[in-house]
Amino acid sequence: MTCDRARTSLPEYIDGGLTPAARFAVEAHLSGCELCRAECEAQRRLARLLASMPRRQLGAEFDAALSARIRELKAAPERAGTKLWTRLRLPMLPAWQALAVPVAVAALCLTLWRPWAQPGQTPRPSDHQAYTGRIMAAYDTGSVTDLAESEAVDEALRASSVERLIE
Amino acid sequence: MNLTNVLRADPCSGETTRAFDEIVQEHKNRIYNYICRMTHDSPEAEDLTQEVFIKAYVSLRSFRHDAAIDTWLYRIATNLVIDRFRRRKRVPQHREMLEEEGDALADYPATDRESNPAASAELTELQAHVQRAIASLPPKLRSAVLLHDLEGLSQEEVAAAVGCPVGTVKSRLFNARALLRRKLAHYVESEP
Repeated sequence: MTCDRARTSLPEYIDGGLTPAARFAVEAHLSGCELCRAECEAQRRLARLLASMPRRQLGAEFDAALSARIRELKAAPERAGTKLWTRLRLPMLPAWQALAVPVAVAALCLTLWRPWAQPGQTPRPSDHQAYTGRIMAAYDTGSVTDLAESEAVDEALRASSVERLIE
Repeated sequence: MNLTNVLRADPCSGETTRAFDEIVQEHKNRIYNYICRMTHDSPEAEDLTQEVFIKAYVSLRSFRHDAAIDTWLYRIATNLVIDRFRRRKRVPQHREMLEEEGDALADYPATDRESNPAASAELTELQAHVQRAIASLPPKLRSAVLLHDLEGLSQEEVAAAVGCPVGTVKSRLFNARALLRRKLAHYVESEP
């Protein structure tokens, strides 16, 4: 082994990261090379020096400040990057199942609310035979009290008259 | 501590908070010392250490279970420090560091300051020299040598923490030690 090769391997030799064969080769070189042996010793001292550097300790103020910030995060998680959805999601459900719940609720709301319908608009008799029949039955019994419903009945009657004329 | 359970739990649950507290207590001083030596600014190092744990808390769910938690924390810390260097468009300057290091070392606990003041003064001077030598390294070499030689991470863990191949870590360590060896030649060669 050359001196260059041995010196390149010294950091790993000192760290104990060489294979047994490589370690043996380095040791064989060191036993016969005073300069490399001195270099190895110097590197060992450097490693000891670095490992013995003093360490600082964080005080109680650090813990208090960190706890306060984490409390803030819990109060407003979305501001810190945690998606509100993640927090609201039921932990035991997979994402797609948890998503199905609000989608179903939204579909039900839209069905009941019918935002596309104009105010006072009623279903066309031809589209809703059952609805027409029900309204007309209510008209016959005199139970139609709502203005919109009575208009719907009139329209249903007109439509049925037109249909009869066409027939 | 069962980390898997912690990471699966609701981040707001008491169990998660307690487990996270344990993680903070176990790692805060190591992370702080690493950042302190990277930035040479102890108040900023304290702020950055807090940021590390805030980021860790926020991203607990995205923590990859195949990594060790300390490697993950060092990675967050390294990214924050590098980001801080980029924001400032420069690395700390030597003159500033020298001024700060005197104060910084005064905070370190002295082992036998009372019993042997002369030896203590000598040790403090030696540590100040080492501190300056570390501070003079380029940031990438500095982080490699700090994580491996001071914090005790393996080369593989350093690679995971700084996000580069193990071969690159080896090369950085080799260059960093060669520079330190040159700067501290007086101490490492004259020590009996």
